[in-house]
Amino acid sequence: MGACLCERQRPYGINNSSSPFPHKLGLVCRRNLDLQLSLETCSGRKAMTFIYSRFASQRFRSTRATLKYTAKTVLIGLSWVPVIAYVANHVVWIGVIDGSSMTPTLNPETNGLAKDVTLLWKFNAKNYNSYKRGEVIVLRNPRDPESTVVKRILAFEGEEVRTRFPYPESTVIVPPRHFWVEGDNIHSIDSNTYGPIPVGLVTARVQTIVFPMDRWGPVPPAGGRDPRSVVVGLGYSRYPK
Amino acid sequence: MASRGFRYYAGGASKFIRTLAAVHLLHTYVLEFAITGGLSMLPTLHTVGDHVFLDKYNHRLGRDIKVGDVVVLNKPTEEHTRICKRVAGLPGDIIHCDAMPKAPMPVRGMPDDLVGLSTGMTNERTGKYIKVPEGHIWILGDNAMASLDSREYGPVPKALVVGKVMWAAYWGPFDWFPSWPRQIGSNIEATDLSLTEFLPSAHQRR
Repeated sequence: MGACLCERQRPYGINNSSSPFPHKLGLVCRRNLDLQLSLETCSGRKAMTFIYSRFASQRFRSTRATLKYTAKTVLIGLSWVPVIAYVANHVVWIGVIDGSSMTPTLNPETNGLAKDVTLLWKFNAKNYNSYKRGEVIVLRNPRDPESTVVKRILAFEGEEVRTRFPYPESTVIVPPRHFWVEGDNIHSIDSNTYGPIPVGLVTARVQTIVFPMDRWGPVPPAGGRDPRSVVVGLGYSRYPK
Repeated sequence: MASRGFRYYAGGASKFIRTLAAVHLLHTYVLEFAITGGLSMLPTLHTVGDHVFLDKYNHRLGRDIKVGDVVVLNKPTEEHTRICKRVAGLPGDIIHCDAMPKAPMPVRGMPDDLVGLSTGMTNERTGKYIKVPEGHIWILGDNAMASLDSREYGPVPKALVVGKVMWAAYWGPFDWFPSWPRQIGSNIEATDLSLTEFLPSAHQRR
């Protein structure tokens, strides 16, 4: 019997009692098993008795051992689910943009079929001071806590904002730790409808457009709405950082 | 000292990470034991040393919340801070916004943004009737004199709600053993019909 050709790999099938294939396979890694088989058969009778091919006659252990092996493997796989959930909630995940409120920055097509796939960066999402003007964020809809919306940050705490139609007052001062968010599309339900939003609602920032490959790249920091000066003045000085 | 390779530590480290993530998942979506503090819920919860059990599985994001529940939520005007208040209004309810707390004197060395609180604050909402908008709740502390709540920052989005306080047990700094847990809020069956049955909008309440 001989060592495997790629010597960095662990031997396969030796002393692995929980494997359903406990018979000896020699010092051969899983990948090079067939290659090794062809080499060894030339060298002598003893090697032939040692080495089995994966695709030739496989001797199985008892059903109980196989079940045990399968259960163990499945449980180990399941134990990684919370880790993936943590990464999805707090580090990074992929999001498919639905709806036209950020047109033309996201979902520029008018039909509802072509949806942008974006990279949602969730690390540091609850840190108010880390946000910059013009960033596109994902937040929980204040009107419906089960759904999320994508909007652009236009103003920060302490700034006086000139509002649009549905808002009752013409200007408003954004309260501490709140954002003024608006969609790039004119027909967007945003802070003009539900007022300034607290950082606690923010879930992620939309970092990169991934899917339509021709628009691959970071989300542009300014949007497509008609230009107007949103911030009129400063209502009060910002909180100490 | 012997230096071990990556393989030696990898198994233990991965088990540690998986356990940590599982506990975090449990604390985010299912339940949590937390310690509350502060003056704002005084007759109901102690200033220090109250250990509360939060139901997050049924009441996260303000699901299935009634008037009279005590909820824990992220503070709207401050990140990384959680507050514990009583739900006083649901979407569609018309609320009278009370006067703000009025402590006798500003404490020396108090930060500027709290001085207004100590001398009694008013805002554009004070003394008016407000309809709580869709998806929001109106929250009040039980100790109205020392509570910063919806009177200050208006209706609060339900999405900020972290969980509902079901039980509390007092285990003070000088106690050898915790008290027997008591039920909190509308979790108590007897108080269930006292308030909500006689309000006009009880049928439309969700």
